[in-house]
Amino acid sequence: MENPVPDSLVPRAALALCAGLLASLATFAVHADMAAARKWLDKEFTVSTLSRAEQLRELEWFVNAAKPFQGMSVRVVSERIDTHWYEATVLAPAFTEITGIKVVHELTGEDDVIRKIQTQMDLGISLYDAYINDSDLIGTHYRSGAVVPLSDFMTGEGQVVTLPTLDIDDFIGISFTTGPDGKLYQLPDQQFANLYWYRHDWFSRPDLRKQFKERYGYELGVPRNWSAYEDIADFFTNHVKNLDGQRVYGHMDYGRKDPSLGWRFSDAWLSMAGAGDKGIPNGLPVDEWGIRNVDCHPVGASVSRGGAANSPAAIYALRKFVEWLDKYAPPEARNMNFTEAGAVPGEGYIAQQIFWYTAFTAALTRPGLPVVNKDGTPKWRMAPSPHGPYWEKGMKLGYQDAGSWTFLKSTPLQRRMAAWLYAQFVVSKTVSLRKTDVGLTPIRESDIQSKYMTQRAPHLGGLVEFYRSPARTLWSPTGINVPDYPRLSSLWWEHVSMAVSRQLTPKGAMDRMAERMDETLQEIAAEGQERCEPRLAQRARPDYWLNAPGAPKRRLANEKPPGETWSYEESLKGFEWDQ
Amino acid sequence: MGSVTRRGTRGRACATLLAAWCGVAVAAPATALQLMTEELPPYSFKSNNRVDGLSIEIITELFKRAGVSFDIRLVPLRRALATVEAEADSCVFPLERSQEREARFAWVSPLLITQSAFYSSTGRDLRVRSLADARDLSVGTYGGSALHEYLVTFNYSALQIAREELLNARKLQAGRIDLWATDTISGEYFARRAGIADLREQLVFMTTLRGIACNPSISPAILRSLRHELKKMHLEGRVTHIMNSYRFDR
Repeated sequence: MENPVPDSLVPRAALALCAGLLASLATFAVHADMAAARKWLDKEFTVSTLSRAEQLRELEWFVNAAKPFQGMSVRVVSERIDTHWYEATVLAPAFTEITGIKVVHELTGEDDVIRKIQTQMDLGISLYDAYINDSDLIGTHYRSGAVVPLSDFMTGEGQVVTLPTLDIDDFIGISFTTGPDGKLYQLPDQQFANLYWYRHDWFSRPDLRKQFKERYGYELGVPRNWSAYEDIADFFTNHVKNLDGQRVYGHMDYGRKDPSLGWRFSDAWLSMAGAGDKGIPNGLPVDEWGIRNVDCHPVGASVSRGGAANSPAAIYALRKFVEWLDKYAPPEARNMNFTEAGAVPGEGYIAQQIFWYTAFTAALTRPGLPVVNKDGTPKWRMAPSPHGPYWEKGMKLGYQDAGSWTFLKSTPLQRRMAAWLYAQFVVSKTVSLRKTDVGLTPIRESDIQSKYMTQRAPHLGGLVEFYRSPARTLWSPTGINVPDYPRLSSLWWEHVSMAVSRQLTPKGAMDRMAERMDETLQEIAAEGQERCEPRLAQRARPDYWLNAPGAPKRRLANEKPPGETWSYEESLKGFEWDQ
Repeated sequence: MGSVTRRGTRGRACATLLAAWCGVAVAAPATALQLMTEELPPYSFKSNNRVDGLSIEIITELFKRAGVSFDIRLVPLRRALATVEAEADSCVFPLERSQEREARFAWVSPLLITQSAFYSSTGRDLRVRSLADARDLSVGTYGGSALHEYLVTFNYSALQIAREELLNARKLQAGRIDLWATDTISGEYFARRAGIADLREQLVFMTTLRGIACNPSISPAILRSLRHELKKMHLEGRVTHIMNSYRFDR
């Protein structure tokens, strides 16, 4: 068997213990049978859209398909959200017992996952046999030529290890992981969206509703636009100030110079303001990063090249981010990063948050939290994100993260096949509903529509309603326009931080970022890509593009139209906006 | 420890000459780059009043190839980090490139790719298959290390911090800890120094990319050159070769 790991990474001490290891492997082999499968069905995979007989048949397929790989040890890596902790600590040991293939599932920061996959692509060192990598890199993977197209693998050399009941059409995020050539490059493992979050109990209080209406002239409710969000932020931070004896705030965010400050923007903030073009999933020809695409070639991000990264809408988006952080968020928010800020809404003093990842659902429904009722139902709700004044119907409205199994060509085939078995196991219908129950990051339509999730819905603050609505397609990951995500994504935090620290104005920061983005596109083009490489457009007068239809859009005379709100029940119907 | 230093064997003139040979335009700083690393055998240690070790060898070859002059000092990690943040033309290595550190430095990486593992002594009847299996065991770690911080974030209840890895090896030998969490190269090295013959690797649970972290004001030309040469060293197998030369069973 080939050894993909460089000698330097092989623990030599282990070689001296080969006898012991062989004994362990023998143990795995003994357990790799249907008895182990039955044990795990009894103790763990008790909820599933499959019957027990169907689950047994699926696990029997894994037992048989894994036989040539028994005793092998595969290594995979993912970011460290609840779903992946469950995989690393429960599903990986279960898979080992059932199949005899040992799995080491490493957990690390998302930025580290990206650096590692990039390192493997750059140096050809097989660090991991598979990666759970965000589908935001689909534009990178499609162009790099380094990623195994799963469509080809499943019908070719990987056919014998491809689960017959995998049911690709059941995955809700397949469009995010499919390249322009129609091939599947990644398989979704977990998904979460970025929605509006608010304290439903506070918004329902008659005294607060009366005060709000008297001050702003409309009902306190789920904001439909950024004007209403701003008014509600002002209301709680500057007028309500204290509730039930504690200081409360109408907005929460984070502003520390850190890679996660970039996600705050590259995860579709500009699209919420309305900077890009119409078109699902990302806007065509200009996407939510502000990159214009012509015949699959990125041609520029600056307005002078037809992009929108420094368009009036993009500058407005950054200006509002900085302004709200200063005026309405708790003072400590400026120095927080994504991880630190994520826990704050659960502490009970935040009224609303415009940019909230549903990956925090499990963390915010834990019994005993100040935001959870005694009966286990949340005091909060998630609702559709409000949109900025540049947004128009037919545009995306937010971000969806789709952490997806990704296999590199530099991984030897045998190891890739064994890792593919593990990947399919953790998304199989036998285990996926249980995994969804734990991590609340659904990937399968069958799980979302299951009776079990109907029962869970009242405890999940709107998560099930969101994923059952057709409007979920308005929330999408970074798309195909971005040709090299690792290189381009750092530009966001580098430049946004300059606006947060007031080194630059929002306009100055976005102008500089758009220019750097164009330069980086040119560098990527010069280095070459396998297909659809950037081809920078000639510069034109900005007015040429601003006067043309679509993005980049001219500055609006009034960027604060009247605030609009709707009830939570109405907002649920809003999840079904026609597209 | 500041007195223990190693100077790049080529001076500025030589560096310039090398750059010319290679056709690489490197704008050398007015003075040599000040490189700092902590004393952590076998990566870096004092030997005959000079610094030596695995990462020192890689650094020395890299900077020679890039034509950049340098001085190396052994300094405690915290002081090194504070110095690099405050002073231009200074760098610390080999540093884990974490999200928290990303924005604070300009990076040349990966200098090293290391793996961390849980070790037990073979006399113990333990089976660690995942991070969860080790969470309630007493685990010895090296205080202040990124590995220690990593385990803290997973709510490990019984971490036992040591100021030196050698103490961890001895604690494991004496049965005072269930597991020792360390990188595989240090594990082998200190187990040997402690005379442990029955070290058992339970689980390699983390792969770490370590780099050179420099003050952000460093010359972009120097950064480009170092990155270019480091990539070449990896592709030519030089980094792997140097790492292998520090394994005991070679």
